[in-house]
Amino acid sequence: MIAFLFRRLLQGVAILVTVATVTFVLIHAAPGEPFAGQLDDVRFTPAMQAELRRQRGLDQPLATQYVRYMGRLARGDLDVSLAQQRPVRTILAEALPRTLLLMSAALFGGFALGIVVGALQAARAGSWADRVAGRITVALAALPDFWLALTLLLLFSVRLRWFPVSGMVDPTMHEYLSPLGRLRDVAWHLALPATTMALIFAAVVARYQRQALLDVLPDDFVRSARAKGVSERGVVLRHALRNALLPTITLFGMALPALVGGSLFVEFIFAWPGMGRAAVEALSARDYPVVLGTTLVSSALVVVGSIVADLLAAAADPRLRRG
Amino acid sequence: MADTPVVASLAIPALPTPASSLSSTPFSRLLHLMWRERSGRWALLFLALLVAAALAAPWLAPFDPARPLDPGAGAAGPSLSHWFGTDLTSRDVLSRMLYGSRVSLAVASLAALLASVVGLLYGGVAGFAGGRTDGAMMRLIDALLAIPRILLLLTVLALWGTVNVRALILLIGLTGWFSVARLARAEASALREREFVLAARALGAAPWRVFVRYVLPHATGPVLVAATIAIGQVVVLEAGLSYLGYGVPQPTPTWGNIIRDGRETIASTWWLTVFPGLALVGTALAVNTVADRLRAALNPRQLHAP
Repeated sequence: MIAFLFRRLLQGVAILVTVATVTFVLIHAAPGEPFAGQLDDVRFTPAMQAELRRQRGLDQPLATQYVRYMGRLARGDLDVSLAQQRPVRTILAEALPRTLLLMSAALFGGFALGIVVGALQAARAGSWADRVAGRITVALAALPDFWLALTLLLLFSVRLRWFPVSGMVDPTMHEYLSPLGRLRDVAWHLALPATTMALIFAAVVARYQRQALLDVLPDDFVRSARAKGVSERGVVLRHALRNALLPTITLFGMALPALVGGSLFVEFIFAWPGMGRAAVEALSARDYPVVLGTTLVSSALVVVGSIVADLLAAAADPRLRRG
Repeated sequence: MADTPVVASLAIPALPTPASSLSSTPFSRLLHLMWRERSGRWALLFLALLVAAALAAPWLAPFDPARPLDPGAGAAGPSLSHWFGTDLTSRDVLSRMLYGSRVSLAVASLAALLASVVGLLYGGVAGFAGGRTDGAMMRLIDALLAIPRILLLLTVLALWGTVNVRALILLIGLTGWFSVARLARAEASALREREFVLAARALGAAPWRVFVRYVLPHATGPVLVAATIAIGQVVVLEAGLSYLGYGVPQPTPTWGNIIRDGRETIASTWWLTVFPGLALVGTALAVNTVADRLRAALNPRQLHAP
């Protein structure tokens, strides 16, 4: 298990080094200079431009720049925001926990709902309810996240006024709330963005879970459970489901990259102040260090997520530990 | 007593059309296999109608998509003269959606085509070459797949500044081939050891000839499915980018741009969000269904992919 973990960590580091190299190539392949958007400002004299270039080390040979760039990233230094004049690391350190909160709520809710729906469908495969649920999950899985977000916003925030339209906390009242009240305030704001992502995930998970259960139901151990006199519900929920969770765990790992990118639109629409929103706002200000920082941190999250998924799969299936 | 229904029910049902008459080409055979199931039929019909509507937009569109009809009026809801309402500058939404479908579909199919060709070639070469070349080429794919695609796109857009439609197609295509490459690599790698490839090599065929004549054609099946899925993804991706304001530049109508036009006034102009959105959902659903049927047709062992 330790050797397995060590090997996966080494692979992860190799992937991250390659990702950083790709971003370095992107920066230098860009037409003009990476901060050309800033230089459009007429107040920048040629002398100031040269000074800026020197400060950023852009007058050095490419190899030197590459070594410096990688060294900087290795120390966790993500450069300074052009628009906000503070370290990108500080900006992302504020935004990351908010994205993680949104992501974990969506992941937990989506997978719980999906597993339950998929299991119920498999228990009554071919029935009217199974077919209806099948149609709904196919349609939901095809929904563009930003459109689902807009529709939920229109319906539940604008029309019915059940949930707040935007943000993570109430801008005026939050300061004056009790700790419990503050928690409720955040949950209140979290409800719609998390539901948007959870619904799409639940649809995908339900389809996988249903199929995985149908795959194990003809197995011998299911027949022996039935022969022992276990109720049909017990057979599906206790005996079969446990053996049919592996594809879902694999899916969990595959869901992480989609969530980092997928939360971008949802964050933007609900004005959730996470990483996705930071990236979009930085893009409109042509603040490339922030966008780049978001990309690097997200890729790191993806790598960590895939290692976690492998460990979970190994924990669920002893055969994988030797692999 | 000998009522017709009894006779009719006793009548021998018409023989199913022999498959051979329809399977003159692989394409028509695939079409036939997809047509057999109701979901596949609906999806194909929907897409055919959509493509026809996009091609015939100049004749179908009731109004000029770019001309404000009543400059002072502002947005108006759906009515008999404007089925999908008008937008904030008083342009007919249905006409804009019809013209928009041309842009959205063209961007999606060209970008998906580009991604498939690049992915097929890259993955095919890696899998066929094997050994260290394969390893190195695939490590790069591992890294590229670790970057969330939307963020990779935003990074490039942040560095490049604004782009026109042609550059957008290139960008979306060139950020979409990584998973295709992995798929093509798996196929090519398996083909490398197959008897007919070994035979061709033993007969002295040059490696590039074996690659082009034997490996590539056999790796296209799975890539075709991936390309179909990619079209659906890109339709949604382009709409999302346009919604953010970084997709197809305004004032060109695309479904995403129409939704963007209504984002500030979403409380009062729901039709600007709902109708283009339904077009998006329908297209994504139809393309996914076609991909699903295609996969089943190409790989009969796995009839019902989850």
